[in-house]
Amino acid sequence: MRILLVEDHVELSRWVARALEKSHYTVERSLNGADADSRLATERYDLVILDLSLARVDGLEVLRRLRARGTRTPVLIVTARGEVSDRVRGLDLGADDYLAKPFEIDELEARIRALLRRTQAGGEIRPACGDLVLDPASHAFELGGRLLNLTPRESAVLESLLLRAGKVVAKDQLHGRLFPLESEAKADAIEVYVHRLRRKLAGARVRIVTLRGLGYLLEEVKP
Amino acid sequence: MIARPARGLQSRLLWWLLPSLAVLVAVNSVSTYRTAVAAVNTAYDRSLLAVARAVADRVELRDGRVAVEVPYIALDFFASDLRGRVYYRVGGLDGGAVSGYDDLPPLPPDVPRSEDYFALARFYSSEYRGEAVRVVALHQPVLDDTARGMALIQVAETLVSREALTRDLMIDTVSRQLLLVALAALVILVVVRTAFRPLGRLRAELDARAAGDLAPIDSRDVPKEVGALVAGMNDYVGRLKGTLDRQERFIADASHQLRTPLAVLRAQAGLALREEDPARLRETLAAMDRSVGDTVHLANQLLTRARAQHGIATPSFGDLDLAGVAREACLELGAGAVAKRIDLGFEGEHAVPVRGDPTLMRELVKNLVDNAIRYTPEGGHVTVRLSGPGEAPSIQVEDSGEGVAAADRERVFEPFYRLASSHQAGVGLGLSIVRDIARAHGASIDLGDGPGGTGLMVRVTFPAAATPASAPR
Repeated sequence: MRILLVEDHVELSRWVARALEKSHYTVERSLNGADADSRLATERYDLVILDLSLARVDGLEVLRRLRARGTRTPVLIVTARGEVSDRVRGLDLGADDYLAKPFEIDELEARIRALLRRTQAGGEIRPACGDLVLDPASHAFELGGRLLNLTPRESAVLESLLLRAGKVVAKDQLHGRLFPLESEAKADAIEVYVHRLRRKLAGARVRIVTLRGLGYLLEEVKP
Repeated sequence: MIARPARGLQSRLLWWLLPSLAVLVAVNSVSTYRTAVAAVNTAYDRSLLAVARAVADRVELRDGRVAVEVPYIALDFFASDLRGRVYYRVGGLDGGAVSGYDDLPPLPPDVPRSEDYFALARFYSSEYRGEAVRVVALHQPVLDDTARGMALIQVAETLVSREALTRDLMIDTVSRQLLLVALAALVILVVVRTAFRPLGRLRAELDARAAGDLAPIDSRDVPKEVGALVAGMNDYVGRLKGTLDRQERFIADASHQLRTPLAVLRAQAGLALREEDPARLRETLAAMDRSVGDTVHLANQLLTRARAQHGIATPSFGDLDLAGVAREACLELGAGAVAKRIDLGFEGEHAVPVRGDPTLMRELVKNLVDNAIRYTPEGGHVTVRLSGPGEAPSIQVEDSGEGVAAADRERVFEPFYRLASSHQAGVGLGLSIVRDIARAHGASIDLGDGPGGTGLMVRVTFPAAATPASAPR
């Protein structure tokens, strides 16, 4: 896997590159926008990590030119500014994901893996958490390699949770997904499905956490 | 865009005083001139009447006919005295001319009798031989044994002399008044300049000040009206100084706070470099990673505070649902609670309408909840509870952490204040941010014990949405 790391802070660039090389990525470092632009015009990379505040040519401009050439290489934007407007402009210009400085190397690698999985699998994503994997084509869940037997509504709840694994999914959101036509009824129906799902996930490396009055969160159980 | 300064008081005063003075003087000139002209006319008319009387004295009725012997010398005397030409005509009882200039303009029928004289005199203006003339018509009763009637004596005078005198009067009046205007303008200028001298001195004193000089301005020598302004300015500068002092203290505190985790980090790095045993090296590195996390959190909180301060200075208030804002914040922070095995609960089924700045409100709730999660040990509980319908709008966050002793409860709002007993990774800015935002919304904060007497309960109560939140200072 060949990654272009565009970052003008020499120290940060060096340490991030070393960390990624440790994970067996081939990392090329580019320290300014103009250099990055010319490399991207001539070389092929599997992924670009792009800092937005660059000397000479701005990061957003590098991204704009890259997309203008019709290149679909995944781009992960990194910036210290953290302003929503920057993030939105970056995503509008065709960036694939966004990470605010300072970030943890683990988080960076997780994002890289997700982006690569998306492009390597021919655009197909196989969302996963712990030993739970969703096959997006068949909407079937596999737990530890074995097909999980779920009713359609259990499946809908679990899919919502898995697609936002690690984040809280609001109860209202699940309710709206399950009973789109009913407004208030069966407020505790969700709890029934979650209870059944918990039974089916017992002993697995994932679990559903309840947040009182808020919703649910699917998390990986660390051994 | 450059704002044009408003016109100065000096030029404003002069702009109003000088033209109005000129108008007043002009009005006065006209009235003086008119009075003078009236006096001149009266005097000349009297002379004219005297001539007519002199003529009338010589008029008699002889055999039923009016006869007159005009004293030419008298006429000449008058003519020379009046510096004009004098014409006369004496009419008989039938109106026909007896003597003098037959073609003098006749007495118009509507001329009233002059009230000023006992005699039957009438004055009128007309034109004779191409010149403007003033005419007196005097009816003189004549009688003899056979007849009685009225003789009409008319004396006309050209206006050369009157006009000359009137012109002299006009020139005299105008020149006096112009001189008056000039002198008055000079006096006004000098007075206004003198009156404004203290303002000039004040300005010079301000100009000469160094940028950082926030000492009060000396208001002893300035006039009363400006004194109030100076006092107001001093008051404002005083408040500004307070703000700047607080900022300075905060920056000093913040620098100190930033150095602490960096010092820890350096010590850990120093230890790691000496470490031979790989297992213990890993342990040290993990500790370093936690130190970095603390520093990142501090930097983020400093940025959050700076943004909140900016937002408080320029808030944009609107109608909000506090419960909705709180639910969003809890959904966002939920993952952090789960990672710490903290049971996070939310109790707020009903909308809680308040007036507030949406960004600031989100910051307030996030800091409240984040603070509770941060200071609650693993496996604890945090509950966010909103007010019900009919209650004063409020948000309440309870935790099962160490709590805050009653004696320390005021101080937890000070920046960088951390409980001496606390081992949790906080920076002590969260509650200070909460307090600043609450103040800007006119909200009050209560601290209490958590459920069962352990932990901390923080409640922020807002003014009811119907009444607008008090404007931030």
